[in-house]
Amino acid sequence: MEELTNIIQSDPSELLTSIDDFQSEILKTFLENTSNDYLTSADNWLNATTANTAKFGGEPGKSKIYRDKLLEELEKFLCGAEEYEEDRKKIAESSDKSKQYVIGVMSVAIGKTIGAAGTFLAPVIVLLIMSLGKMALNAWCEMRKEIKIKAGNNV
Amino acid sequence: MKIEGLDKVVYTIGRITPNGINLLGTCFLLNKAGLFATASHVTNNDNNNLVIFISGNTDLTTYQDTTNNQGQSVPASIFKVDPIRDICILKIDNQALSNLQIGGADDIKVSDNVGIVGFPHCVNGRNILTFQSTEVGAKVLIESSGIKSNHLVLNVQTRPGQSGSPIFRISDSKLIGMIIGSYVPGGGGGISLGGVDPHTLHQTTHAVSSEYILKMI
Repeated sequence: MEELTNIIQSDPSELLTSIDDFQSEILKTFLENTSNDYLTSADNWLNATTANTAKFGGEPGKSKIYRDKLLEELEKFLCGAEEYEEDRKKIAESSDKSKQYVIGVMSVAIGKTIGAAGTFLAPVIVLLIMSLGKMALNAWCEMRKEIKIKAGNNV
Repeated sequence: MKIEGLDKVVYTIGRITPNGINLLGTCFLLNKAGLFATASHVTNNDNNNLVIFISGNTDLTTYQDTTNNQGQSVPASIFKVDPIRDICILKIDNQALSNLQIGGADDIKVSDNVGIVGFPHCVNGRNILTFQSTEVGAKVLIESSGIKSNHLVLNVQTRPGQSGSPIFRISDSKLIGMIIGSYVPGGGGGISLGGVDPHTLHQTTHAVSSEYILKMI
């Protein structure tokens, strides 16, 4: 699918324009602080918490979102899993081909699966795509398959 | 600072569950149509079944009936999130807006008086809009994931349910911050006595500067 291939092949600077400016500024600081470690930066976003502060909300014990789980869902989205067929179709049929739109659809779809708002996940999706290092989509999907097979054999 | 009309600006946010609405914290109507601000930990960044709860019984100029739990819930969705500053902007399908003047921590100095408006104990089902006044005790930088942001220390005790409460400069009602919790080394959560973390029972409340809200709307 051309739109997904294009997004994978985008430069990090282009991908940063697909999210809100305030989010992009935060990611730039993360990347600067970690010498462009995309995965640590993703963890920094997902695990952000104000230091030494007890939070006064009503759902203190809610489970956190793990980066590996997000990567798994991203793989399903990019590599053709049936559960995201409708969302991929939405991207293919839309006249809006902007990166912002594509990242938005992906984030909302994955967010529905894991119980998080798309706007919260979008920066992490961007960082995970950056971490693919512009690898060809088919090659990345094959690599992910092989990693899973090897992991299965080692169990 | 005028208290009239604050019940049309400050509300509780809740999540619909099979057992009814669980109130999660405080939120307030911004000066852009349909947008509210709260703390991101109040919503846990999860859109599912979020509502703004409007009771019609929270006018600060009257006696609020503590036995009246009736109200209307308005579906809300998460519009923007800044997890570093613990800010969430919610959106409802309505053109309502407030006339808030949004500033930030730079607009106030240590020792200046502020008013806090929110719903202490709403997480226990108590939906009573409450005004507290105090002064700014310190201006501090607090870190999150390696980024330091502008915060205020307020010399007042706050309780669960008050996260997301707006903080106003008493002299002209300008918004200068939002409650996010209280100081506890390590963030607390280790000890609970009757549902209360004793580490939080003090007068060092943390509030994030509202300048970051401006960047999100």
